[in-house]
Amino acid sequence: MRRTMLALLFFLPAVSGAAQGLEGRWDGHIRIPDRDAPMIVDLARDATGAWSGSIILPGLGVKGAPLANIVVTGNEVAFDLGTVLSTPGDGPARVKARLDADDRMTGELRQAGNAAAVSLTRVGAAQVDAPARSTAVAGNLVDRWTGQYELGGYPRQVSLTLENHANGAATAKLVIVGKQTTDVPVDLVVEEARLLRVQSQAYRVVFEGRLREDADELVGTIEVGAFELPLVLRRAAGRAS
Amino acid sequence: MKPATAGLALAVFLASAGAGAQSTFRGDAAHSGVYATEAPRQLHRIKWRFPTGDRIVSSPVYANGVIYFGGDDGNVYAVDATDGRQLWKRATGGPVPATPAVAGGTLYVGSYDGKLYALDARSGVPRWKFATQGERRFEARGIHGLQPKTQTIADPFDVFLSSPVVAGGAVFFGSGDGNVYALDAASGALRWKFRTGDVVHASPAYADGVVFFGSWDSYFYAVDAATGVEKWRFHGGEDPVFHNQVGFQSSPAVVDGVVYTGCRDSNLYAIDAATGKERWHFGAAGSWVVTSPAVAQGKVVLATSDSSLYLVLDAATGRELVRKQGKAFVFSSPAVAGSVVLVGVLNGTLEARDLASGELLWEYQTEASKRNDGWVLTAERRFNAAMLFWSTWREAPIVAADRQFQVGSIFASPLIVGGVVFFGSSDGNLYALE
Repeated sequence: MRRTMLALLFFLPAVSGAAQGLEGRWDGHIRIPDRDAPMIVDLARDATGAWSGSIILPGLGVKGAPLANIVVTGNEVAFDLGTVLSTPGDGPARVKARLDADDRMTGELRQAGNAAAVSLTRVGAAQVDAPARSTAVAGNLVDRWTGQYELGGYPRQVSLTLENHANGAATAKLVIVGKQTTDVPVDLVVEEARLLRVQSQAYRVVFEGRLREDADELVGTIEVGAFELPLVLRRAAGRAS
Repeated sequence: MKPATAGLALAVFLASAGAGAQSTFRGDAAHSGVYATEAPRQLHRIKWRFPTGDRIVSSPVYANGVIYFGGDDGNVYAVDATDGRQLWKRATGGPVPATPAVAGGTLYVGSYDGKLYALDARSGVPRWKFATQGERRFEARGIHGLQPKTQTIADPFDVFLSSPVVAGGAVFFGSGDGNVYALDAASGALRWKFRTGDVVHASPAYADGVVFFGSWDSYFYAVDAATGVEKWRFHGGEDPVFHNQVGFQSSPAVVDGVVYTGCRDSNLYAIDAATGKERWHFGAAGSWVVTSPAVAQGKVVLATSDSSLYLVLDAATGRELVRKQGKAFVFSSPAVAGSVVLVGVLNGTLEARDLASGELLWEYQTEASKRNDGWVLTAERRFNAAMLFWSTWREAPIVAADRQFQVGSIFASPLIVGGVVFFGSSDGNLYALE
């Protein structure tokens, strides 16, 4: 125990100093074969010591995507890129980097089983993009809703199941059945001014609608890629809640 | 088979073979996709590799000891089958993603310059050329959900040109101008043309005096070869919004009175050749069937694009006999040689499978696929969509499709002659494997 305490006494200042040294805006590149992809990472720590971060990938359409699972150990940092660059079966892309000098980090990005070197230089203070967060939805929306839209001459059956959680945020399960069954991964569920928005960034699908209480219907539109179509959702026979 | 034995077999074959069944797309005028030789059940070596200046989409054909194919670099090539030595090349005015047909000492092939060329097969010297109304790719507003949705965008996956078929002294081929043409094979004079509603890049098949072909207008046609008069038409699926699930890009095979054709509406159709009535269809659950089916031993062999399935169906009923999950999209048409099926994959891999079981016997991965520039592929050789198709805006999806094909993608249907496998790749090489 005494040995552990001594070790901590020596180690803690180093950890603390290095951790502070990871804050900031980091600008650099991913050395993908035949393609140097620019990458900008913002890392910040709040008053409680919790880390947050976001990433910009110019050329890959990513601006301010939130980082997930940020782990800082000494002068090393590891984080997931969330849904950005994630692939089915391989999970999220992940960066591990190490502070080499005051303003320089090197490391590795792993994505879809591929690995590439990453080099980053601190260029200023962190400018973390605050991620959009899901909210709770009104109690009378918590249910399973079904409806149908037609696209390209084929009907698509939609099932939307909304659920509130103790953390004050709702989640949604969205399933679209056309020629095949698609379980759409939902990133965001927000109800603002009685407008419900259910969004899947990865699949470019958005449902927006309002509850028409007299008919007990969710009336709105569904965006599928470049196309926006009217969609009316009705309560499924068996209530989910 | 040992390399030396394979070499001897090829030499014997080349000495005895004349212009024959390997001299047209899919092996014969009916496009059966069957080759009268046994493909290697084990890969021994690359026999030779012939580099060109751009990707190769055209499938190779064989006649009198020579391999012929087109290049997207605009040339038509003649290469010695034994050693890969160039015999001649002839420039056209555009890329040549069509497969040539060789008959009576003449090679026939179309180019993106909108012309059909008849070249002397020995020298490459032009005999005649015929100008269509001009080539174009399939295009539509909002195609595949691309933006802006009110603007016409050409389909980056419309990669092939129609390959000619020669029968009864005529050359039959489709064109981006929407017509199927019948020309006199000797003079290039127009015999007739048949107007469809959209691009015809599928290759016509010929059987019993009838020409069979599909168009991007959603119809499949049977036309009298002598007169150009329509005998029947068959309606595939339509997709007026995305224009994704529509059109016959696949070329038909006609075997024992049945036409087998894939369709972008995600079906493989078996159609009665005499009446045009559907016998059965096989649904590929939303995935294009671009490959032209091979029909052998009462089985239909095909592969799908997005779902990357390798399938063997009962030719009489459409019942599924074999299903194997592949890794990436398949546009290459399977070729059957004895007990082996060869098929190219867009991830830059050539696969050899056992016809009976569908099990993978061997595979060859191109160097470009191994390099995986720009992480086009995952480590498992699946397409890395997150790195490719992150935007639907402007030219981004077109550029992404081009990048997708830079891993040595194999569009070509393999050719098997004397136990040697020939195929082209988007890395610009024509390969001979044994």
